[in-house]
Amino acid sequence: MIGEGQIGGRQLLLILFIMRATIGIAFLPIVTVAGPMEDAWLAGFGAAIGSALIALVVGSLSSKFPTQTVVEFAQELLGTVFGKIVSLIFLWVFLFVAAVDVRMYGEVLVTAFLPETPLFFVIAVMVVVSSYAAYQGIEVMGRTADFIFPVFVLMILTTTVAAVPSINWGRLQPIAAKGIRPILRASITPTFIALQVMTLPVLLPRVSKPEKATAYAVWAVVLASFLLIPTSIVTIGVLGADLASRSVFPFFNLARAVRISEFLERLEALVVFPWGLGLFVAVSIYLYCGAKSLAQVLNIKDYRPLIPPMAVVWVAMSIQVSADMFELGRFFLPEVLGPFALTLIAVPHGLLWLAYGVRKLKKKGN
Amino acid sequence: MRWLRNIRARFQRLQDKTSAEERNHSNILKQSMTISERTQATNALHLSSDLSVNLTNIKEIVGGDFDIGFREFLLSRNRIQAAIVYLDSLVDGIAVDRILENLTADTFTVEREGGEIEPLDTAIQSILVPEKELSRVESFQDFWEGVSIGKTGLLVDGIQGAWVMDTMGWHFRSIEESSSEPVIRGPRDGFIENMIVNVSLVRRRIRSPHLRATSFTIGALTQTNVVVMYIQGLAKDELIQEVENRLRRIDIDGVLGTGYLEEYIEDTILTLFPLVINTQRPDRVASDLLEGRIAIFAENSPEVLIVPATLNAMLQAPDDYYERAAFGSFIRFIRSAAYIASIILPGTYIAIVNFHIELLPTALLLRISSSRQDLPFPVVFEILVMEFLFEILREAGVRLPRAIGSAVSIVGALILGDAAVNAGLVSPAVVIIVALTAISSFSAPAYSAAIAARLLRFIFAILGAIFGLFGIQFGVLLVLTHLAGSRSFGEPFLSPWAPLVVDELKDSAVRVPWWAMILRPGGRERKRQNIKQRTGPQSDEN
Repeated sequence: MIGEGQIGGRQLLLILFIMRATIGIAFLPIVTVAGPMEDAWLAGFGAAIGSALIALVVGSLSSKFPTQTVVEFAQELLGTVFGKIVSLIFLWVFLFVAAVDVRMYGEVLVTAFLPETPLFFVIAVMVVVSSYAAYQGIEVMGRTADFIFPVFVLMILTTTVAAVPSINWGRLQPIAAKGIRPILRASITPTFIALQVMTLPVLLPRVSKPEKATAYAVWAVVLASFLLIPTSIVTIGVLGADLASRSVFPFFNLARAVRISEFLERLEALVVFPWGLGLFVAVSIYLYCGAKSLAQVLNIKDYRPLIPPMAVVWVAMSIQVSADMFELGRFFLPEVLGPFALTLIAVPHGLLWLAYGVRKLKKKGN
Repeated sequence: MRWLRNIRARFQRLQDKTSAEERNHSNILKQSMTISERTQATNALHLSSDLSVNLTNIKEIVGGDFDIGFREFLLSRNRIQAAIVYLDSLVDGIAVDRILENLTADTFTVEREGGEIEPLDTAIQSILVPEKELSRVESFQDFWEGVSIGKTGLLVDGIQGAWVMDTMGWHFRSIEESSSEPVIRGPRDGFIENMIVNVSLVRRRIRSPHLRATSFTIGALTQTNVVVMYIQGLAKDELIQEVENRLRRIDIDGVLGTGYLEEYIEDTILTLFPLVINTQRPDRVASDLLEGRIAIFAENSPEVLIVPATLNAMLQAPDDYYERAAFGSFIRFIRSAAYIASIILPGTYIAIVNFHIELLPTALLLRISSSRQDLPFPVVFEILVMEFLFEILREAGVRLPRAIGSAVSIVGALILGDAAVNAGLVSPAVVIIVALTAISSFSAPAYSAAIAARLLRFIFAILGAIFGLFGIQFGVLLVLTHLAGSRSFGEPFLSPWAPLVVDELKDSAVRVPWWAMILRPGGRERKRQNIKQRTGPQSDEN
């Protein structure tokens, strides 16, 4: 059948873009997490810079080992045992972030569209479909990302543009009245949901030009951050800062509120559909990366047999990850997510960079 | 113990009988041989130099007496025994007569002026020069390969082997427009059952000497000629190799259509989508050859296979290139939309009516829900039943003789559509949806691609009924992943969409004017033509 194959740089960019934009737009953390702010969209710039830094830290280390995944080069740098322990942190990130993503999607679907369907069911179907893609290999995922990207962006932009006439521009003022601190605080969460970038060290050996992968990853997160700016502007402009910050899924609520004409209303399908598409890409990539790195930790050659059992764990995890939507929402508060994500990024990468630096120095000493 | 002896005696008699039968025949074939043993035996047979042995062997193998012709005669002047063998049903009688005339005429002799004696085979060879095809064969297999397509075999006493001359004179349908792929503007010729004519139709379009046609014989019994055609230097070598390898692998009794080959050479069976294009249009084949693809012809089949296939290629019709570019682009957009609609429309309708009625605008919602009042069946049932009825109608329309075909459409349209609505059995909206789906599925130029849509729409209807729009979305994702993972002879099936090849979008999403198609979509060499060919009056710059 299909070999593992490779993805092009553009496909990597699209994958990371879709992964970040999906979660970024799903609950629009810029608007919701930091309380009512009329100028919250400014945080998009902060998020762009912050996430670009994360992508740089993660990507530049990984591109020093263009043929190895993080599991392999961690063992090379830190020794087998510590290397494997550090790889487990990555595995945990994949599992956790994917679980949160799927859970949020499931919650929306169940609350908004399928009130009588059990949450478990929605999540399970999503994970099963994604695991089919993960099973088919990275090449296929790259191609689906190629296909999904235009649909995704087009639908998001359609909703955004459709909402423009309803904007009450007064709601967007004042700008930066309370100084820069609240804006910085608002940009913490959208920055740190760039945890997705941690898939890069697993994907990188499969990119056709690994040396350019970091650049593509930086572009992906920056572009995705910029996509958050117009969406948050219209959301605040239409719903008002207060309402927007209190709703769980502001962009979704925006789509519900928009009404272009008598026969064109209720655009929420335009939000939920691309969200589903994007989530599909994200979850399949997480599953692929999870299975791939677990296979390497356990020294198994083929990652594919690991996908079905992992999918089961994924489903269970996303049910268990929080009791309800509000608990999940609290998790995204800057004070919670910030340190959490920082630890998950800084600890393994700090160790790896340190080991790399030590090794470099030793080589020089010789 | 008497009965045992009886049985033994009877068995003995039976054995004697079979061996007696075998003795009656010569040693090549035995009555008891199965077909594969026979084939093996005849394949191993070589023509001997003794005419009578050859004739006995051939008569024994071929048997029967209806259309096989043996004519024994003496070569003129030299009084050498000779015979011709042909199949009455396949040869042109006049051509056979001419051969006989030449061989028995007074001009045929081995003695040349000046008392030279020519070897017999050279003499025969020179007297047969006017024949358009003359070949020397050594084995019975080659001999019969010629005779079985209407050639005439010449056996001469004392000469090892035989000559085979082209005297074909069988009948075939004349070249007509393909009924399954009609066009408004463009050539009207379509392939027929005669492969030589089919190949000629393509040859006439591409006169380059680099157009190659290599032949294979496939089918142990039918011995069907299969021709692989490509442009050397444009089609990728690995692709040619792969196609030829896959064809060589085929071991089958008979090939009665290219569909048989298709199932042997496609990449996987686990798909509803055709991974090989088939067409009846020579212009389609020519245009694909010019893009570096490979065409596979088979004798007796008016369909020609083209590989590698992409979904994009299946949604293109020859008209797109003959009509104006802007219209070509527009019609392609319509066609793609219709193709998608033919898959998901019924399912989406069910999902919306069942689960997401609030997504409809109020006026439409009122209209639909008022039409759905007092209906006896749930919407899924209505849609599925109507779709099945439509499939039955369509099948009946294909199978029925032309004369009653119109009756079926009247029954279908009036009774099933109008009457069912009037009787309050189905809602008018459902009839509209079913009709729309049906019309959409007709708009796909490749019939085999439309088949996939016809099957998938049932699956989507069920998905929509159970899971709502959510189910439709997952169906779409599954199909998308499946298609993205499919390959046809190494070419990604969704190319150029996924993987995205930006410069190929010019001939997929839109159809740009011909002067703008600077690059070929595939093949070994990308550059197709000069860049500076924009239309318009000559500009001063040049």
